[in-house]
Amino acid sequence: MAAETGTPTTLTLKSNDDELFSVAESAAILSVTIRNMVEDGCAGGVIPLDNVDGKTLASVITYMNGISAIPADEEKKKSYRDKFLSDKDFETLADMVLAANYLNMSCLMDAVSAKIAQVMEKKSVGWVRRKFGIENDYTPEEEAAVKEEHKWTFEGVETDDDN
Amino acid sequence: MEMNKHKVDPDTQNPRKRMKKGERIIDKLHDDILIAIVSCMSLKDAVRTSVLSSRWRYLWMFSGKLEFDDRDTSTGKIMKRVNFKAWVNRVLKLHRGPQVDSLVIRFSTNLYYQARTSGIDSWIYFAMQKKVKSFELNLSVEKGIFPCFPYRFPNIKKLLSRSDQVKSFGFRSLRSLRLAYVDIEDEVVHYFLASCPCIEQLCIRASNKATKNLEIGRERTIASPDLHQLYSLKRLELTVLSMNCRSLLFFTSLIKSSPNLQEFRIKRGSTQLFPVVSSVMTAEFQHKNLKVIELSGYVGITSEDEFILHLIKVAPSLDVVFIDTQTDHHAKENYDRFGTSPDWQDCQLRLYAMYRAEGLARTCISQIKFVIT
Repeated sequence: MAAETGTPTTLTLKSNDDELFSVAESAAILSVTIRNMVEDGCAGGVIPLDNVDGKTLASVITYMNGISAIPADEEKKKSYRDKFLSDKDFETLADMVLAANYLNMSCLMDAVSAKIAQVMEKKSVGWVRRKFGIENDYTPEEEAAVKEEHKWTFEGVETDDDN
Repeated sequence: MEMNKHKVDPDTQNPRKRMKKGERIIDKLHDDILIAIVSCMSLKDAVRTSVLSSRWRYLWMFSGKLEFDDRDTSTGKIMKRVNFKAWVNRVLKLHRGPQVDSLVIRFSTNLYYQARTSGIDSWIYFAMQKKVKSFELNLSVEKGIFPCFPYRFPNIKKLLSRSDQVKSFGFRSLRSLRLAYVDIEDEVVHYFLASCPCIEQLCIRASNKATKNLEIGRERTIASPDLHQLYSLKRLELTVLSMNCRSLLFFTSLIKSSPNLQEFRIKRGSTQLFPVVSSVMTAEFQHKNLKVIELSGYVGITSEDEFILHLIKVAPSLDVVFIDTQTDHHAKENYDRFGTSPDWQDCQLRLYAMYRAEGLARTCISQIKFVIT
């Protein structure tokens, strides 16, 4: 980490739709991708993030600032993450998980993955397909076969309501 | 998720217009991301995703988290043992990912037939093959009684000799190990302590043999020369069900070998008395990080006090000492046999234990906080 002493260093990040964002280096280095750039001394000017659009990057930066303001308290960090993700729709979540993956931010990646998984939990196959826009490319026979293949998994296990 | 239930999809009447956008975005998520998502699900939900589309068919087989529980948490219904085992075996066989971060297997075994739980060896082997970081094997028995013929953790050498891959790697990636109601040999405990450099959490609950073996260990001086330094271990929790518990010495050697240990909790299951342990025999050392110790099942005898006082002496970092005077059903069942009211007996014993614990707290002039319950 280049400059830990003196005045806090600010980095400028550029989204793939050419929006510029200022963010404290201490918060930005939550991203291993950015941290590596800083450590290699490539963070002097503008850091271009080719895989992240402005809307998503703004959201990620909000998260970076929010989470880095919380001292080392896993409980508080978790509740911040929960709150931060609570009102995001799937499209936003999907953009964020892509951004988190690209920026190599494991805490955000894990939290968003868990959030998406939570949305899918206990839902019927049809509901998930519809909600996530998954095209069913099975033939009816194939689908029936896959269902049959995993039927054993549910033996003796109560079914969940599909809603 | 019973597939049969999905024949009529209730959502067909729910025309949402988000599909178009979603369709594009789900295709942008590459398989690794989808696997990360699937890894956050319960096994049940994860397997169901295979029905979504051909792309999803095999994704769950790469899941980094496999948790099996014979009890359905929402209904409390318990699966038949045969079905449970078939379920676990099937899933483990189908799993294709190179690694599993977390493997949890919890099922209740019959008090007398636990020894027949063959096949568990192969689950442990699977855990090794998939380089687990967190492994829990919990074979709980009704009422917390230790089974007559418990499942014994396999011989570690035999396990390692099953393939070259596990032979060289073993359980080296293990960070957390939780074993409950598993008969575990001295040698195996040793292996985990000596061969897992990343181990942070070790919890061995209700292992009948543990105490006996640790006792043997004392005679063989299992202490520091044998044990590697466990730099990562921060929290150590042991539950011992034993008729003859004289392993306190071993615990001090364990603490000595774990320089970064912060929390040490020990729970005793029976009311059998500790033999008096001379402090001369205990390991002399200084510990800089131990902050919390907890002794559950405290009955108020000299050896327990000596153990606590010894730790207070060697660990100036100590902040809190928890002493819990509550004992388990075991004791209550004994009282039943003598025809006295268990509650009354229990109450008397607890009062005595609390009185002793408070006395102990008073003798410590240091800043250490005592929490006595």
